[in-house]
Amino acid sequence: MNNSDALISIAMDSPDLTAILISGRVIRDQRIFLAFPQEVISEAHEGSGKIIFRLADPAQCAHPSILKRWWHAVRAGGLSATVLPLFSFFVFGIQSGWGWSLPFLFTSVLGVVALHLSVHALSDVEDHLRCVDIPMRRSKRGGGTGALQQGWVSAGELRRWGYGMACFGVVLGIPAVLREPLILSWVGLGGLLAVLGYSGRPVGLKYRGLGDVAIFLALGPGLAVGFCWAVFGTSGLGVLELGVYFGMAASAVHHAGNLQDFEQDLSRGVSTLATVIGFRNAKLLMPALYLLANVSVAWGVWQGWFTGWVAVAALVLIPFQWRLCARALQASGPASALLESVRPATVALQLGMAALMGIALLLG
Amino acid sequence: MISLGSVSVRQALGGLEFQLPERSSVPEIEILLNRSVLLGGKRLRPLLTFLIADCLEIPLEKVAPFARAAEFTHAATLAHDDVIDEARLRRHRATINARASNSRAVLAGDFLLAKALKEISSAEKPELVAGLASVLEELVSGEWLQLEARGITHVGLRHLEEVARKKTASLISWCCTVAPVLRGCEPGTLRRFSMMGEYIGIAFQMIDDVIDYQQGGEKPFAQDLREGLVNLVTHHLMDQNPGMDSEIERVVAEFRAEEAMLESAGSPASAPVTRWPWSSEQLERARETVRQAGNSKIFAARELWAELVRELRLDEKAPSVRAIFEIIEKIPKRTA
Repeated sequence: MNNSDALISIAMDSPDLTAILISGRVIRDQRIFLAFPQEVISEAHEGSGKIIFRLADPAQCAHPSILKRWWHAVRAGGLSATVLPLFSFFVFGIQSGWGWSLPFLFTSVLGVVALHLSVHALSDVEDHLRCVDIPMRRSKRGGGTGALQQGWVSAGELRRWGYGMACFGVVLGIPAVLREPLILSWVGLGGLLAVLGYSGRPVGLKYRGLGDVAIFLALGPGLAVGFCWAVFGTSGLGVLELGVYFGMAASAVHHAGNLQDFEQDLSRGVSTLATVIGFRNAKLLMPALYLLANVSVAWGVWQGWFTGWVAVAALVLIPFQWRLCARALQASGPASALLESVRPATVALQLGMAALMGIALLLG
Repeated sequence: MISLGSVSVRQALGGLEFQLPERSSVPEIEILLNRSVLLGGKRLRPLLTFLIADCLEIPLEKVAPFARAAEFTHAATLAHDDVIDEARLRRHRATINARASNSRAVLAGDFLLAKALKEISSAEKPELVAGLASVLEELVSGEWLQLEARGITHVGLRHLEEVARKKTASLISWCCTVAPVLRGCEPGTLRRFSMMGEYIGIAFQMIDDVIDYQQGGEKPFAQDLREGLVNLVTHHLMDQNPGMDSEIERVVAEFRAEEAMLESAGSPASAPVTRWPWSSEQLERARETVRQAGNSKIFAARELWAELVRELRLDEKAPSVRAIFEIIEKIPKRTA
């Protein structure tokens, strides 16, 4: 180790590094300090270089309440992005006259929530271990939770939480799988792969250009089909189309993040859809995603699966989608200030799309 | 006072002429430049170029053209920046656009860039010329990004660091690689010199942002905000204080309205004091956050220089080696 004042550097190939990143602590002069990663000095080849940590006395670090810390760490506020589409799928099923079971509804919703919490936690941990989210790259306004970076929870704690939630989600899904093994075992395996393999090694879908596909399937058609089979014991093309709609919205959120991370991903050899197709084409993908979402709804209305209210809901959202896409298209590069507001806007739009669709389906 | 390394470095820097001879076919351009952007300045870029050359035992006359090219490039960007920012003063003197016109300021900047390229056009290492050309690309794209961000308050750290990297760090990074390239250093070594320069440049810019919120400095208080630009301190003010976003937006809108009114009235744009939406404690906390982040960059630069000293077996006690450590250490202590 090399140290000066409250900063130390640790070589990337040091055996201590992983332990420090996971625990968020360093022992120095027989005292325990919180260690916040500040800077990555990366060398020409993979795995070489150093990480600079800022050390702080735990007694002097102000922390919010444990509830607030964990609320931020697990991104509980983002659950509506999953729960609202579930509401839409449920309403669609009821409107379609499908019989449903309360216990399965309860376990399915909880199971999806658990898996959602799991994937967020494990993804944040993995990004932390790869030092993607260091303080100078993310602040609260930039969309990062900041919980790991501020030492509110350690990566080890969050990882245990993530795996715990994954197990809990699996356990909750078992009754439904036993009821409908043919469909749900595959959907369940796919979901588990998405959760554990999204960022976890050795799969790391999000680092190999497959994150976008995983997001689309897991939060779109996969979620729709899996939920409906679990709750209603059946599914249909209409709910699949709904799944496509929500999947596109979720993909847009993910893609907005990839646009911003474009140069960083390129320099670290991380493959995303954006880096594969290039920045200019990646910008064009944003309106394409929303267009496809609206086309799926239009198709559903044309086929008679959805009522006119659904079409109205989709139309109402188009000006917001257009404004967001215009901003993304105007951005001159990944570091453009114009992109800064795009990601939160895609999140807000995703919620808006889910909420309005649910209301439209209810009205129908 | 920063030590300037060895006697030879002091002599080389002192002997390097940054004033243009005023003998070109249009001497007015050179006169304008000599009385504005080429006058004064810290000469950090040529200094780093000479110091590293001295450490690597490269004859200083060999790097002198590169040192001058770096300073010309920097001065050219100042001339162009003054046009974009509609600045009337630089270093207590009238800017080129204030003395002459915007068009002449742009042309004067272009003239200096041509001079910079001419200085190094016969360099024995064409990669240095290509490197400076890449730096020019970065400088322009950094300015472009910043221009795009004018009036936008939702600006992230990634954007701010990228602008700092392109506008400030890229040229300093190039200066740090001149002597190593001439010496024929390995790619890994070159990369470390380049990274060291980048960290120095970014730290320099971060401290600039802190100084921007200092009363009694060379520039008016919160000059960036007056120009509709969010810098690191402003970003952290908003990040640390809920509700500050809308207040900052109000201030930016006020400045823009004032500027438009003053310009249409025909008088020089000097925005009056407005009601600042932050307390002194809030401002100091934001400045301290940026200083802390700057310390990480300084630490990284120092680590890299220490590694290079070990790797190249340089004499740690040599004046130029110590001078580079000193430059790195002094950056956070800047007040101007």
